[in-house]
Amino acid sequence: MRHRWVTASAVALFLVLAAPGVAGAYWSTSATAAASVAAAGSGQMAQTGFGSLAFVYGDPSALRVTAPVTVTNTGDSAATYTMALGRQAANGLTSAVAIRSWKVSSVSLCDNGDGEGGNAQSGTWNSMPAQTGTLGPGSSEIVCYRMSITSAQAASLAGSTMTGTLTLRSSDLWSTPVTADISQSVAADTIPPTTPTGLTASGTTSNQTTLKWTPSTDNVTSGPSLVYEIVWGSGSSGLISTTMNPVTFTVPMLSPNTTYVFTVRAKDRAGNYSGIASVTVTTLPALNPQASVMW
Amino acid sequence: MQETPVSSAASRGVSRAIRRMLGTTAVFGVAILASLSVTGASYALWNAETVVNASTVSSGTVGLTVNGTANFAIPSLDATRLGPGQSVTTPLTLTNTGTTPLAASVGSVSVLSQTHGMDAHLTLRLTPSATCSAGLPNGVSGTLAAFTTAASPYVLAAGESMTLCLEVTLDASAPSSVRGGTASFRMNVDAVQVRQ
Repeated sequence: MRHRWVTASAVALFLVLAAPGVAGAYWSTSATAAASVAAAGSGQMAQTGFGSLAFVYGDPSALRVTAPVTVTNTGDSAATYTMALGRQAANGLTSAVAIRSWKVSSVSLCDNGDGEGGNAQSGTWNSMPAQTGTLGPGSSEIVCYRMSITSAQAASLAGSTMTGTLTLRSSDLWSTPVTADISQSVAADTIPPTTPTGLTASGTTSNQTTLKWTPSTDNVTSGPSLVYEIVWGSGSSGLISTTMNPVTFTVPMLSPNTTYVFTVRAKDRAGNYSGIASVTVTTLPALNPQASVMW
Repeated sequence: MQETPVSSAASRGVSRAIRRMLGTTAVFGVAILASLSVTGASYALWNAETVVNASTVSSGTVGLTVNGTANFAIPSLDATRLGPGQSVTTPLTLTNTGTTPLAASVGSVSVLSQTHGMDAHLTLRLTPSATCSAGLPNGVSGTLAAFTTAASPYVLAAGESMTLCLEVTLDASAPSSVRGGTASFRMNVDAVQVRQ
């Protein structure tokens, strides 16, 4: 009897374990997918030549500068570079300078002549498309930059200065961007305005006179922006007035029966003075007060 | 008629045999009832199976492939050199080649080889998608070492295929020491039968 119960228990246990439980009754299978990935190597970029674009524009002989900028991959892995120009503070000069850039195979092909390579990019310091390229380890590319202003711009922007920037980035995100700054400016104006001509005095009375002259001209400062200094002499010389572009000026508070020498000269925005125009004026005698008294 | 001793003894033997047989039957009956009461659900399955015509019963098969093979080698994933934050993608097609539904998932990832410590800076993302590109939403992502999709298995009917997009990303914070590194890994896709 004891054997039977033992046998029965074993059968019951077997049936319990053999029942379709979660683990035992499910089939399984598997598959694999293998892959390899690689990290980029160094694609650090460097440039030379940008400093040669530092320039002082002048009129009329120096209105254009051309220089090659060489980009080199100094790393051990191919990478793509992006070379962009920009400026620090925007001003009239940054928008006036016309920039063109193109790739050349040799620095000797990048001169200040009129020649230009194909696929040139164009813009100003405010907005200039970037040059891009892909370089293997140790490889270089040359980008020729030409920058110019017109003679009129040189005159109107005389004395202006700006800072241009170059930013060279690599597709190697671990690399350090390269930046460089240069200064460009327009030579200061050293040419004075023309001397006022035709200076005359009219309507002279015992205490005033009116001066007239033909306006000066200037290579940079526009006519309406010229300043005229009117000076008198004859014992009490001094500056009477500094005024913007008059063609007439009435000098008040003169003494009767006195001779004055009036001079007029023009000054441009750079501070250059023109020659002096002069005129001598003698005021009329004073009126006899009694003459006007009516009895 | 008086029974002879021999006849009485024989009669007792027969009675004992009958009792023993009945007792044994009872014991096994109790055992079977006990086992059925313990297994619960299997009782119903067992009952259900009893109505199936024996002539229609056949054994099932299970099978799973990745891009048509049980051990797929993803080609050219290292053709793109990864910088920090960059990724590469490749489509993978899981196919249930068996005759029973499967729930498939990436159970683990084995790093086969690596240099420059690159494996520590890789993230995998697996997304069910007909197209494959970086940054797909709703995928499962994780570091190479801990990647698994076991919590969200892909259920495939018999003969069904599913296209997944595998994206491998080099962490944006990967240090420059990873430069030039390589890593090879194997995704282990496990599948279990789905109860119907």
